[in-house]
Amino acid sequence: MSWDIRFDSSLRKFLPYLSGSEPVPEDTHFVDLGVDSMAIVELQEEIESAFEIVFPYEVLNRDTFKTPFTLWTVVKSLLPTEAG
Amino acid sequence: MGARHVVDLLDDTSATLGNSPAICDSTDEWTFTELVTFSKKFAEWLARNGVIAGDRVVLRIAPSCAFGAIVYGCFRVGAILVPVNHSAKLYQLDSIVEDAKAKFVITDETIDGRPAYIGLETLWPEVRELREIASDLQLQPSDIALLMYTSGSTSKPKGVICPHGAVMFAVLAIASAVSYSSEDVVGCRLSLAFDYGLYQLFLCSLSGAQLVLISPNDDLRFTSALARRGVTVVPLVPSLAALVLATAERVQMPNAIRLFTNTGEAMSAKTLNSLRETFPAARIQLMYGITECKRVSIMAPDGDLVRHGSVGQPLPGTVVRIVDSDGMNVGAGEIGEIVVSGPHVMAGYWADSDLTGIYFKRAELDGAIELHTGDYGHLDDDGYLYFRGRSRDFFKRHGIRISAAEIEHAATQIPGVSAAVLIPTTERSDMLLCVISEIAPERVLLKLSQLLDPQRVPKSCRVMQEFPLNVNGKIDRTLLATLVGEIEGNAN
Repeated sequence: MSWDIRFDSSLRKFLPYLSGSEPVPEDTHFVDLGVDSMAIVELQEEIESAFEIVFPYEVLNRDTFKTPFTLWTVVKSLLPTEAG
Repeated sequence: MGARHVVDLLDDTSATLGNSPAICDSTDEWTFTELVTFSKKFAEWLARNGVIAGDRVVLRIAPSCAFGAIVYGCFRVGAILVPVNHSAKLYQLDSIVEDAKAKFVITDETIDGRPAYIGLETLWPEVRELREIASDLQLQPSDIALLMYTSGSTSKPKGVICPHGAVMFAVLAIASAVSYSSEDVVGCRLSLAFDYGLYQLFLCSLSGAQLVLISPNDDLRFTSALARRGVTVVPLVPSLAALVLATAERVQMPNAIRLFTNTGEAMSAKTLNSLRETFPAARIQLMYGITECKRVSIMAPDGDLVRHGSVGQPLPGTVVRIVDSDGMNVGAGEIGEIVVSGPHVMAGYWADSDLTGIYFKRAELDGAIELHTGDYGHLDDDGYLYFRGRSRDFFKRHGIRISAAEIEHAATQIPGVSAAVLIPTTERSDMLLCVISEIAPERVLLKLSQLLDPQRVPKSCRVMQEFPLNVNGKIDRTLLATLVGEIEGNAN
């Protein structure tokens, strides 16, 4: 999965079962990657800070924060679109 | 009329408040009448499937309206409910099923390789079609209501035996100090396999309050979820308070929270201050308890502002003594072991009379059973309790008991891991697993996450060549913790 390097490095701060050389498994549930309730909130804050976005209320749920893939899909939709 | 027990609380409330909301989850909302009806249907299901009084029913399902019906349904036929945390792994569930010698095991979905375990998705449609059980079994106070499996010093958790008499006494005593009314809406994010969570069901049945089971799906907007549901009471442990505060900033709507309670772990002054700043209309009640007697003490609302550091007075009708190593009472202000007596003291550990004998002992004075908690503290001149620490081999993390022995035992089940030592969570650092292992540390944690629930999987692991030993040839845990602390310190 080619996603933004900022996304990859933001995620890695929260994935204790992942070694530096392994790719982030995009379809594994966050809970199975060692991300608990408080960590998921911290991940939200980390992503918002890294991308200068704010997750709207409607998407602030576990369906968005289910796997790296579902999260990236929502993050992408919140990024400003390229001009031209 | 025989002695009353918790099912009577539900049935009595249903007689006058039948149409009031009793319990709701993310999909359903039941009135008291519906909760009664479904509990009687489930009782009928148990009876038809050969469950007799004293049989154990293990339940590992997500908190839900059905959970509430299953609890009361078990009690109606005298079955013993054994609730297990929803996030427990099969390795943990199997161990409890074996220890409890369960008659039935109910999980959310059918599990491959466990044909004897029943999936709720299969069970509940059957239950819906049944008639309600004709009559309940007449229970005695000594009949067992629950086995609450809890971590201790052993490599597997033990089941605290909770008789109906003790459970009922505890519910009424707690309710006299933490009063819910029929206007209250309790927002519960705690596991219902944790006695703090489970008893919210009983307290709501007693008072007619509504129990709202908040889903993990709402964690990122937890405080908004509380506000939207009109929640008035929020039982907390400190880590849940952190979630409340972290998600409170973005809430647009007003909330109706009037009370927070806290137990499981001491709440820091910083958290107490932040809660009061963010929720100026809410009061806070600090409490202290232990599964072996449900709860020991409760402070008056905002009592901590007046009597700093105390966890309150013992439950009415119970006694707390502070004793020295000879079991003799010490004076006010002196620290000793917290020993509890009263009708709330539970009946020991399931199938482990040795362990029971260590912690549940007959008092010399009157022969009554006293609980030697293994916790330390003191009483002040006015009889208020202060908690200082614990000597038993478990520590608290996120408000729950974590056994190093359990985590170490599970780690050594992993192929390639020959030895493991867990350094417990302290105020300065989270728990850390040290292993002698052929596989990488992240892999150890990944494998461990397949055996243990997420709260019991450390976030850090260090592979070592050997562990330091003391003069007796045993692993020197203190030295190991110091060495690891130095390595961590140097790395940072």
